[in-house]
Amino acid sequence: MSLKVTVDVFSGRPNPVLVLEGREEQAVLARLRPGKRQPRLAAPQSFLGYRGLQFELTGGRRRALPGSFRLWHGVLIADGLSAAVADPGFEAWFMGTDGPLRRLGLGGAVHNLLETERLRPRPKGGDGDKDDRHERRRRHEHERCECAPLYEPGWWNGGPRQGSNNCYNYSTNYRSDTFAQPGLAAGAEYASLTCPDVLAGAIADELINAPKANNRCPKEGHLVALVVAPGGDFHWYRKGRTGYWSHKPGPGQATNRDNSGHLITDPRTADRGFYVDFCTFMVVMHGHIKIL
Amino acid sequence: MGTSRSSEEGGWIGGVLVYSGRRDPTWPVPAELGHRLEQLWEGLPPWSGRRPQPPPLGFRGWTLTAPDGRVWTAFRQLVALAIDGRRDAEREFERSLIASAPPGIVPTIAL
Repeated sequence: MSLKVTVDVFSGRPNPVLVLEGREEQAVLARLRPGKRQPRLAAPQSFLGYRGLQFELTGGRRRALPGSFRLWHGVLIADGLSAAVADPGFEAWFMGTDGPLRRLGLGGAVHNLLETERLRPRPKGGDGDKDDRHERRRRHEHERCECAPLYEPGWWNGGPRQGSNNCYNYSTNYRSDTFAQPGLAAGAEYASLTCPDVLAGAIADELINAPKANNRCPKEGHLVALVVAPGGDFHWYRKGRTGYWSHKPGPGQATNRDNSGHLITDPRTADRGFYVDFCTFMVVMHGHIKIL
Repeated sequence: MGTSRSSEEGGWIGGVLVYSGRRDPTWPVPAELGHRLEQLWEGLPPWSGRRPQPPPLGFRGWTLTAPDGRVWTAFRQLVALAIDGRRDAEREFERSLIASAPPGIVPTIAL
């Protein structure tokens, strides 16, 4: 008999898997005893990040535990089971550098990532949570932005990547490291800093003009918005998965705040400083565009 | 000496942080002025209290880049080299830097 433990956290690479046997298996199972019942919680499966420890027992169930169950943020989850785990420190111990996972030799970076993910608040409204429908109603844009990029400023901010990518790179979610200019890749760079000219450059880069998008996410691709400081500069925003917008002012840091410090629900009404002309919404079809 | 060595490698560059889509304007700064601004900054008192925060979009300050890659940023009375901020009550650093810019290179929205 053995206990297979999968750390369900990755998307592109395989999840770490550990098989426990003998005394170690028994010790772990003792710490995983179900405690106080919890409100019913569906297993998390379809979001990015830490989705819990998945346990599979060979040889069937033991004690009060089913043959397959999950531990996520201190809650044991399975069909007919939703209870606090006896040892609330189990996940931290198991995934820490002193826990069993160290045997896989994953390296400090992975342990740090796991720790960060474990400490991240459990997402609400996901995968059948009791308040899922309420959450989706409250954030009605959420469902319609599934193809939109994540708001991940940490990926863009800092190091040479930050300074060599601008608002156009960020909005199209396309890192060229060239401080991209609309139309340049197609040999049709804008001739003047006006809405029609910059728009024409973006269209040449294969962005799709969507003037009637009205702040609604497209079924495919993601929504961006072009604004212009007439004769001075252009600027782009992108709509994220949560329905909020974010942007990267030039070589500066990506942010989800406008010039007044507010979250951006609509770039048409955001405080945009001297970018006073709102030009249009556009759609970025992932993989279709080319920018330089 | 670090500064002497680096000044032989390249030039001092002035700049203004103002654009988003376009590259920000930059201009060469005479080495003599670069060294003078460096000495000016070294003599400024440390900044205390809350630092002024530029808005995400629009004018975000002036920069002076040394040949060795160090970058001073001036915004209002704050002149910072990395996390070391100094108070330039008379904004002499900023005024000297602006004065070194060729005519027309600094957009009026930054002035």
